[in-house]
Amino acid sequence: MAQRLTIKDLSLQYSASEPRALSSLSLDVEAGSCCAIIGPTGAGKSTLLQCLAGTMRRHHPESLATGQIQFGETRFNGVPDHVLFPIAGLVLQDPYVQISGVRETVFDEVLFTLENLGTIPQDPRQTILSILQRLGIDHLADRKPTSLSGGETQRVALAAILIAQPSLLLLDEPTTALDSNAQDKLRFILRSLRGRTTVLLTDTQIDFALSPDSSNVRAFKLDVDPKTRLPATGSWLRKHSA
Amino acid sequence: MKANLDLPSKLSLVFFLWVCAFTLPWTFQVGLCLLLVIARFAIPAFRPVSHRSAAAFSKFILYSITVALLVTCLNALFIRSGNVVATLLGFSFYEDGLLFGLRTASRLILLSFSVLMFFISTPLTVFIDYLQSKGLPQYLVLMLLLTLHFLDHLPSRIHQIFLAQQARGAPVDSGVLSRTRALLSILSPLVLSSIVESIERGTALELRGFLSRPVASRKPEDTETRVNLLTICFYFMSLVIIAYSIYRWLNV
Repeated sequence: MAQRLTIKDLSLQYSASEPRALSSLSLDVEAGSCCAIIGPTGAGKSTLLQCLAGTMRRHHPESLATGQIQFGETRFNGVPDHVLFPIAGLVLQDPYVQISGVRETVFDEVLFTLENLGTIPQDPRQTILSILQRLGIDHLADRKPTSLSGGETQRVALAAILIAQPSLLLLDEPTTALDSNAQDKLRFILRSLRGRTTVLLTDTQIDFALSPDSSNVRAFKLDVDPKTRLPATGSWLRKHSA
Repeated sequence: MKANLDLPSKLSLVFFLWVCAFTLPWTFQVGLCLLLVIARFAIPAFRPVSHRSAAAFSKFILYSITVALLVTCLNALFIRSGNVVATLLGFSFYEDGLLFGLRTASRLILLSFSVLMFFISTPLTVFIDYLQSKGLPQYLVLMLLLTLHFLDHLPSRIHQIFLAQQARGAPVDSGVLSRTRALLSILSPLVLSSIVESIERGTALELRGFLSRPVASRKPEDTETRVNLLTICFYFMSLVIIAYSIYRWLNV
């Protein structure tokens, strides 16, 4: 079930001696809506997603965070100290690193997530094929995951997360490896998730988030201070979805 | 009780070969290496799982012959005891050094050969599933998975960097020396980028619940507990060799 995401005054330093990677960020994403975080390199987009997915504390235990993250009824002071999967599912920027390398077909690669969760349904074939179909990659079900193109791999990585039915879907620059055709498909997927999953995606370009076809996507811009090159608080580019 | 060469019996064979590498005379080790080469073609369980694995095996044979010759010659040249076996271009090769070199080279090759044979004939998928089904901690499985993935993709990464260097006009094609020089210059960025990629891959697996994977979800065929006769044989022979070596050592 979709849940509301509220970030309140979130600041983060990777260590006490380093400058802030996130600075007093406040953001409110309605349950089941899609929000694009747009900003240049170094604005803290990926850092924010790592905080929300729960990997920040695990990989940077010396990091210092203040503020609050609330997802549905669950509230975290600072950032979560454990990986929130399958509540939150993060798709990383590089599609190739997300292929496990231990499964021979795309179908098995997606099934691998369910094996990890220990929730293999009665008829996994039907469940997985319907996800692959939604993403337009059902014809790749029997292909080797490591033999696919960047765009195809990105969609397999997305399928491997979506199969876990996360309430919060985090996409780190999902359009990087996609051509315009594949971007259209991603828009379609995001539309199909509306109301069911809260989606937060990042992008360096505003084209994808603000294109007429993405009218259901709200856009929030993370800025970088031009003088200090440090992240500044963000602002809404499009606060309401159509 | 079954007697086919499955994954546990292949692992026990690797163990047996390692025991042989540390205990048996070098002539036996050379014999075992030759048997392994024959096994790669004759026994289906040792056939490479892919063309890449087959190519790696062929390359390894070439490299191992080079390494064996180099190690033997250097030892024969620098360990100056015993009779002079041969003199070539003014350099004398000594008997004791030659034997020591042969022992070292055959041991090195048998050790690496046995591991290579296992990995070229075992899909990573099967090996990882097996380790998980045997209850190995997920952290260890993840580390092993990342290491094997890194090693598996290292040659293709090196090849890609060579191609990129070639495109920029670097003379990487003009002989072994220039290739070695080029390899040395890319070594640190190669290792660093591979480490970064491994960390990302580990994160991606963690983000898919790999570390909290329950035992119940592991494949049913992996939990098979039937004892393989070959596995017992290999472990038994290993124990006999170890016991005999200890006995000989105590009676010297």
